[in-house]
Amino acid sequence: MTALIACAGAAAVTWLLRVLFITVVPAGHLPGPVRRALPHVGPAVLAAVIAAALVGGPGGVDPAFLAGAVVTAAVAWRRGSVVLATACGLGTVALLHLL
Amino acid sequence: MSVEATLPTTGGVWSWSRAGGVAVRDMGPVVLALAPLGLVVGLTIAQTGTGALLGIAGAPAIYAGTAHLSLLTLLASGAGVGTVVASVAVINARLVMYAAVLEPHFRGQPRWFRWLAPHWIVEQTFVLVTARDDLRDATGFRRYWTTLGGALALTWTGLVALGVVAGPVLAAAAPVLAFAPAAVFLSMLVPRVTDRPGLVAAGTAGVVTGALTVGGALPAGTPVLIGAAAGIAAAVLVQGRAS
Repeated sequence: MTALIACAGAAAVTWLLRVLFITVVPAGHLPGPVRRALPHVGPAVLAAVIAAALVGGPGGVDPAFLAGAVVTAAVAWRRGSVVLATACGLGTVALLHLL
Repeated sequence: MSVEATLPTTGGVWSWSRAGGVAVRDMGPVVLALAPLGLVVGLTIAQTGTGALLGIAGAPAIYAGTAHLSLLTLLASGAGVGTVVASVAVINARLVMYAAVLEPHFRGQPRWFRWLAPHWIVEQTFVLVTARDDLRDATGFRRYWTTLGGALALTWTGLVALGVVAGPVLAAAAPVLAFAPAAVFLSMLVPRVTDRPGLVAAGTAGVVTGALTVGGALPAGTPVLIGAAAGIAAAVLVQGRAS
């Protein structure tokens, strides 16, 4: 029963976070300075999520992940292909784990 | 990475088949990012004894992998409901920022859509929508978003279920697959950072989050929030100086 209530509570609180600035208090009603900051949300949050994924593994910082990130970023910058950049990054990590 | 406050209609209204086709094509690469996390969540459900049905049902209900994983591990450690829900709230607080950016797309939509459809907000859908400049028509966006969110939820739930039954078999590849989400998000972010404020936002957020995560003193999800806030503040400062 605890698991069921926790799942329902987690789903409810996550839904509230999602509707907060869309339906409850639409972001268009936020103060000007906050609205002017919104264009920077995407790059900032994504970079934060990426950084946490790169260095927050259970075994600490994996150098292979850092090397894979460099390769992924370089390929994405030069070629702009998500699939190619991801494949090159994963290939780098797999290769370094084999060595 | 943003949309204007008002979204003028351009071009024709997307039909369901067109919107659905575009959404399904778009979601291909991001499934790569979902797959490892989905399998790990499924494996954790099997290992923690949460109950396969409840665990899998939680996938579309919570629709946020890291928070779901945190919920499972906290329950297994004997944490109470309040602790679990508070932890999920901290980890998912970043969704508030995604919602604020996507809000113009939800203006003028039916009431049911504004209350229910934000449920699909997560990194993958945020990145895909902000990458497109042809979703300005309200009906077209509604059809695209519904197809994208629904298809991703089905895929996510399927991956979690697969992880429950086949997770132990795939465990050998887990160390490499764990890199996939970062790789996909990085390959989507890099080509879109085209100006100095964007570069400052991403760089500052990455460095601050990385340092706080390695430090390990903060609860899960908190480094991302602090790092993102630092990145946004730095970008606002840079933009202010430029203008």
